[in-house]
Amino acid sequence: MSVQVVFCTCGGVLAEHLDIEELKSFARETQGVSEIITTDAACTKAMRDDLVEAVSQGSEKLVAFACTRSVCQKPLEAVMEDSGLDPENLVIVNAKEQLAWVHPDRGEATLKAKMLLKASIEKAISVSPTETVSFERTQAALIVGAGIAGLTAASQLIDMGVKVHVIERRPAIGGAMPLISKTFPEEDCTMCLRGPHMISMLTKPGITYHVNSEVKDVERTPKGFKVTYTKAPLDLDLEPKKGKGSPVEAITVPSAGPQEYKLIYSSEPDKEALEAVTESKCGSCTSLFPAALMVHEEKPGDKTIEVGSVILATGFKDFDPTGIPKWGYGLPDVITQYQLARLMDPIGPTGGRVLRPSDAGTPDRIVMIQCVGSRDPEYNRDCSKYCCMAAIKHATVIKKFKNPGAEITILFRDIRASGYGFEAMYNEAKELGVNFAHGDIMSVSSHGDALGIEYTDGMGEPQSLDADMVVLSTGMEPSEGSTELAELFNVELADSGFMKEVDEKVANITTRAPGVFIAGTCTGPKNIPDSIAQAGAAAYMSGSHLSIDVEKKANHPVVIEDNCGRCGICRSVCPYEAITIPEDEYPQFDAELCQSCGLCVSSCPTHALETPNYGYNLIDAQVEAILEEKGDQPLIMGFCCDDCGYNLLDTAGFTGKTYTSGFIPVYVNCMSNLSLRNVLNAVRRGADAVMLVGCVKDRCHFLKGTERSKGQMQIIEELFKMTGVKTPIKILESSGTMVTQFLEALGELEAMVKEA
Amino acid sequence: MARILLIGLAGDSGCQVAALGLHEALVDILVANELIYAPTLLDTKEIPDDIDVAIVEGGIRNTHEEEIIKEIREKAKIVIALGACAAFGGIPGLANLRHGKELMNEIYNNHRGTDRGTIPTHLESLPEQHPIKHFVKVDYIIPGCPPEVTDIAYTLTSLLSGNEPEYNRTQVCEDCPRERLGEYETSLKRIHEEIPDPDRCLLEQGYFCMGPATMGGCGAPCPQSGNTCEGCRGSCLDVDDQGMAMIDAMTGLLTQLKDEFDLNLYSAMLYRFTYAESVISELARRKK
Repeated sequence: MSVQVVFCTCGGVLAEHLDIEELKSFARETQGVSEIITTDAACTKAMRDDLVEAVSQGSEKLVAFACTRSVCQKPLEAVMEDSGLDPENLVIVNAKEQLAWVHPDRGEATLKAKMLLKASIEKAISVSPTETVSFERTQAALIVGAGIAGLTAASQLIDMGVKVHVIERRPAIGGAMPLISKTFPEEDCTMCLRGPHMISMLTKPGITYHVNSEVKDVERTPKGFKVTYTKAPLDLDLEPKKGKGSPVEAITVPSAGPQEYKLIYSSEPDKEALEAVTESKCGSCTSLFPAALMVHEEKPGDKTIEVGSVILATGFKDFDPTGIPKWGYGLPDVITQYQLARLMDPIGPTGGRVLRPSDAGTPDRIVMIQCVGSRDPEYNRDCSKYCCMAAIKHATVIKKFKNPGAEITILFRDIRASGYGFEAMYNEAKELGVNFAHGDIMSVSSHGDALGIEYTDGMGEPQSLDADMVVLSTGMEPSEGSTELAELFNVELADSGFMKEVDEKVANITTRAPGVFIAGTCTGPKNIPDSIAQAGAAAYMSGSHLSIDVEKKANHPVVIEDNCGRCGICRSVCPYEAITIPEDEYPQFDAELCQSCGLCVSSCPTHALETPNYGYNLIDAQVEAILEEKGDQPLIMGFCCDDCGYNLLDTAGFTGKTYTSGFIPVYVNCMSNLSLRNVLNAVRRGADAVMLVGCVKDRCHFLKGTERSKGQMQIIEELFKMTGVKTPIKILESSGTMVTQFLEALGELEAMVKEA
Repeated sequence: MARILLIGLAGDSGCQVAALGLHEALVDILVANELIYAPTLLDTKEIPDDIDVAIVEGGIRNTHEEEIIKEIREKAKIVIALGACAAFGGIPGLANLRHGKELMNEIYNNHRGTDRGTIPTHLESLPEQHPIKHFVKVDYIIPGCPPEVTDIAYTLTSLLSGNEPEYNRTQVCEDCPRERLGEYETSLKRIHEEIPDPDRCLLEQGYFCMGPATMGGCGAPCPQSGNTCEGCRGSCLDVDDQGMAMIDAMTGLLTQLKDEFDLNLYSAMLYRFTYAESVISELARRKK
C-alpha cells in the first residue's frame, strides 16, 4: 500500500524553522511513499484546485505535513473527497504548533519531523476506512422531577410525540407550586392555574410516572441512557377514605397547636403523622395533591428504563435558618414565607387564616425579613430572585383579604421587582400601607408576648421594632440529592451548588453531558414564569436531540480467531457492555455500543483483538519507526490521548512555549488502548523515558482510560524498582490547557533521564 | 533413521523423564530411529556428530552449559527446547530477580543443610539463568513443567515423518471447563487462602489464575483439579511477555487492582516460568 505525502509550506513559514527540502528527500526515500506534493496553503481555497488535481493522481493514502488538525483537517478531508479518496485515509503531521513553533533549533526540529513523518507514514499504511452506521436514538425522554418545570416539559414532549418517563422522589407530582395558594403578580390561585393541567397530565397517554423513586445509576449508550431507579415502598395509606381522597399533608404535633407544618412523605414514616393524614378532614387534597390518582401499582425495587434524552428538573429546597441566632428561627412565631403561604391556603392547615402558631391568635404586627440565606457571603452569595415578590405578594394578600388592619413591615436590603407587572404590585403594596424599610438584621428575640427585632437602617443607625409574627424570606438552595444526581449524569455544578449550564448566556439549558438538559430552579433561583419558559425550551432541545440520528463509525475491534481462547476478559473490561460471547463462538461486538476505546484490545492477554485505526500493532509500528531515526539526544516517548493530549501540545505551540525536541508524541485514541506491552516495547527499542498524557481523571472521554493507565503505571514503577530498570516513566493527567504542568513534568523527566 | 539426542542442562531431568513417558509411542519412535545420546538411558560421553533432532531440557546457568548448547546447535539439524526451563528459563529464572553472588552466598553459606562456607568454583556461573534461545537458534519449543507427553509425541512424530508441527496459539482458558459469568471479585487471593467454587472460573472468583496469559493446549489439568494455572506453558504465541500480558488484563478488569496488587507476593506468579525470557528482565539485564 503506497502513500502520498503533501508538504504544506504554510506560505513559506515552515521552511524558516525546518529543512523542508531535506524532509522531502527523506520522505521520498521512505518505504511506501509514492508521491511527494507541495502546496503553499492546504487550507485555502486558492490552492485547493491544484491540490485536488495533484492528489487525485496519486495513491489513496495521504500523509499531510502541515499544521494543527483543528485548522487543516476539514479542508484536507474536503480535498480528499473531491479527489475521490476516503478522508479516513488521511494522517496529519502537525509540523507547526507541535514542531516548528516549539523547537527553535532547526536541526533538532528537522530530526523530530523525520520521526513524525515516518511514524505517520506507518500509520497511513495501516489505516483502513470503516463503514458508517447510523441508528435512531431511543425515542423516549426522561424527566427527573415532577414540579412545574418537569411537568411542563413532559407535557410539551408528549405533544411532540415523544414517550416520557417522569421520575419523582415524592409520592405525588406537583412539586412546590401547588403548595402556594397564590402566585404573583396577579394573585392567581395556583391550583386554578395548574390543577386541571396536572390532572390532565396524570391521564395523558404516553407518560409514565415513577413516583417515590430516585435515580440510582446511569449508563450511557450511543442511543441514549440506561437509567436505573429505585422505587421506595410507599408506606402512606392512599386508599380514599370515605370519599375524601388521599391527603398527603398534615399538621403534626396536634397537642401543641399549629406550630409546625410538615409534609408527610413515605421517606419519613412517622406514625403520628400518618394517623394525622388518615384522620384528616381535609377533602380537597385530591386536587391539591393528586396522589390518590397516581398509579402506585408499580412495585418497589430497582428498575431500568431506556431513554434518548434527559431533562433534570429537580427544583430547590428552602434555605433552612434553623440555629442561626440573628433570625430567631425556632421561636414559636418566627416562620418562613413558605409556611406563611401554607397558612394562607384555604385548604391549608388553618383553613386559610393567618394565625400565630403560638396561640392561634391573629397577628396584627407582622415583620418580614428579606434576604435570609441569600446575598450573604456566609450562606449563599447570590440573590434568590423570587423572595422580594413573594413577600410583597403575601403582604398584599393579607392587607387585601386576610387582615386589612395588620401593620406589615418589610425589612429589605434592596427591593428587586423587575418582572412583568412586578413594579405595579410593589406600588400597590405601598399604597395599601405596607411599610418598606431598609434593614440589616441584628437579632430577633422574644419580647414579652411579642417578638423584638433589632436592625440597622439605611443610614447605619440601630433601630428596633416589635412584632406579633416574623416572616423570614428564605432563599433557594439546590434540592437534596442534586449533587449526586448531577454526578450520575455527568452534569457540572456551579459554585452555588446549582446545576451548571454550558454557558449561562447562550446555552443555558444544555449541560456538558450531551443529551442532558436542565430546567427550573435546579439551575438556580427563579420564579414560576421563568421556570416554565425554561422548561419549554428544554423540552424542545430534548425533543430535537431525539430526532437527530446518531452516525457512528463501525470501528469496533476485530477478533483474530486463531489467538482467541474465549477467556471472556474483553467482555468484562468493556465499559459499554458492547461485547457478547455466544456459546462456542468468538467475541462479538455491537457496532452501536462500541466506542472503540480499545480497553479490550490492550487487556487481551493473547493479543486476539485489534482496533482498525489505532491498534496494538500500529502503536508498536509507529514507536519503532520513530526509534529507528533516534540520534544522540535522549528520547522521551509521549503516548498521548488523541483528544486532550493533542490539544495540550497545540496549546503549548499557540502560547509560544518551547520544550525539548526529544519529546516525541504518539497519539492513541485513549489511554485505554495502551498496553504495558506497548510501553515496554518502546523502552526495549531505545526510548530513554516514557510519558503518558491522558485526560484528567473522571474526564476520560472513554470512561476508564486514565484510571486504568494509572494502575498500570503504579505496577510498572514497582516492577522497575524491583528489577533495577531505571527508565523513568511518568503519567500526566492533563486537560488541553495545562501547559505549565506538562512542561514541569517534561522537565522532571529530562532530569531523571540525565540521572539514570 | 533419524539420529536423536536427549540431554538435560540446567533442569531437573523431569522433562527427560516425561519424554520417556511416551510409552508405546516411544517404542515406535525408537524402532524407526536411533537414540544416539541420552544420559538418562545411555552411557555416552561426547556429543555425537550428525544429530537430526536434539531435544534439550533445562536452561543455561553456567559456561559449561553454554558451551554444550553451542556444540549441539552446530551438530544438530533441529533443536527442540523441551520444557519451561529450556524454553523460557523456567522456575530457576526467578533467581534473576536477585544478584548472582548474593544467591551463591545465600545457598552455600547460609542455607541449612549446605556445606557452610564453600562456594563451588569448578564451574563458572553466569550471572543469570537463561533459556537456550539466548545462545542458539531454537527450532521448536515444547512448553510445560513438565511438558505434556502428547505434545512430545506429536512434535517428534510430525518432525520424524517430515511434517511441520502446528501449535495452539491461544490460552489455557480455551480448554478450561469452568463457567465464566463475566463478573469478577475485586479482591485477589491465592488458591490456598479459601476454598473455591468448583464450577466457576477461578479468576472470576478472585484467585490469581494465569490461565488467560498462558499458552493453551495442555487441556487445563490444573484448573480442572481445583488449582490455579501457574503459567508453565509460557505466554501465548503472539505475546512476548507473559507477566505483562496478565497485568494488562488485570488492570483492565479491576482498576482496584493497583491498591491490592502486592508485587512481592505476585511477581513469582506472573513470571513463575518466564521471568528469564521476559522483556522486563531483558531491560534489567541491559542496565546491569
